[in-house]
Amino acid sequence: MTDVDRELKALFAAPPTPPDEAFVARVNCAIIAEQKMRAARTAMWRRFAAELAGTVAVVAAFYLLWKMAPGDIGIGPLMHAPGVAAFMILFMWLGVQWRQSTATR
Amino acid sequence: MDDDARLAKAAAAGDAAAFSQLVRRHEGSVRRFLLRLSGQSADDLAQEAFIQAWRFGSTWRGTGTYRSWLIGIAWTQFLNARRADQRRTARESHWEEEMAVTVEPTVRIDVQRALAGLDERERAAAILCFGEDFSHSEAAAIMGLPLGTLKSIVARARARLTQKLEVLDD
Repeated sequence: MTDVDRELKALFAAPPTPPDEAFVARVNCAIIAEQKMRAARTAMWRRFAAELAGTVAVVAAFYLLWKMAPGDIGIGPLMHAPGVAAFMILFMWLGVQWRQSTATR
Repeated sequence: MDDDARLAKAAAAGDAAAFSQLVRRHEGSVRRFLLRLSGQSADDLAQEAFIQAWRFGSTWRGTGTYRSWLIGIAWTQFLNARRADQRRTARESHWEEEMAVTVEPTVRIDVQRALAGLDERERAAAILCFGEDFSHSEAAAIMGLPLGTLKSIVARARARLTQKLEVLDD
């Protein structure tokens, strides 16, 4: 280390200061907010995954019911096929879900 | 394992109290570095640096000191903020005027004035090596530069600082 370096270090030297508790508290608050945000995000994705899995299962079940309905028997009886009723229930459920999600925003 | 390493490990596992201890230990160093670098209070940047450290705590491998890792994050934050700042040129030209108003009393005005005449990399290298007592290799790691490049930047900063401080003395 040269003399110039020593002089510069002396000029740069800052007196030791105690921790700034206000700043520490500010960072702590930001960390707590970050934790809450992360928890909410995780919960949202979990709920989404569960609902997606449920929807896929219901759609698969309805598709099977549709396939089991008697085919080629005219439009009137077809409207009474279990698959049609099942899809109507599914669309109603989706409609209610959509209304709930927009209402809570 | 030193205290910082133990606390960093706990913080990486989600212990907010341990991270708070790390903030208490290093906030002065990080804020002083950013203050000298930007010439004005940079608490928002410092806070963002600590939040990044919290988010990516598990990426600290313990190869350098925790303080140097934090200062490296602060340096990256500073560079990102500068890039995002559309009015950079206008601010640069008013830098010295701002200094007189916003500089904290703990920072020596003459050193700050001398620093104001350096470019960002020279300023950062000088603060790290002369102000924060990092070795050249630590400073190179913090700034993400090869050691040789850092050494030439420090040499240039040393020469310009000496020259400017002599002028200020006169």
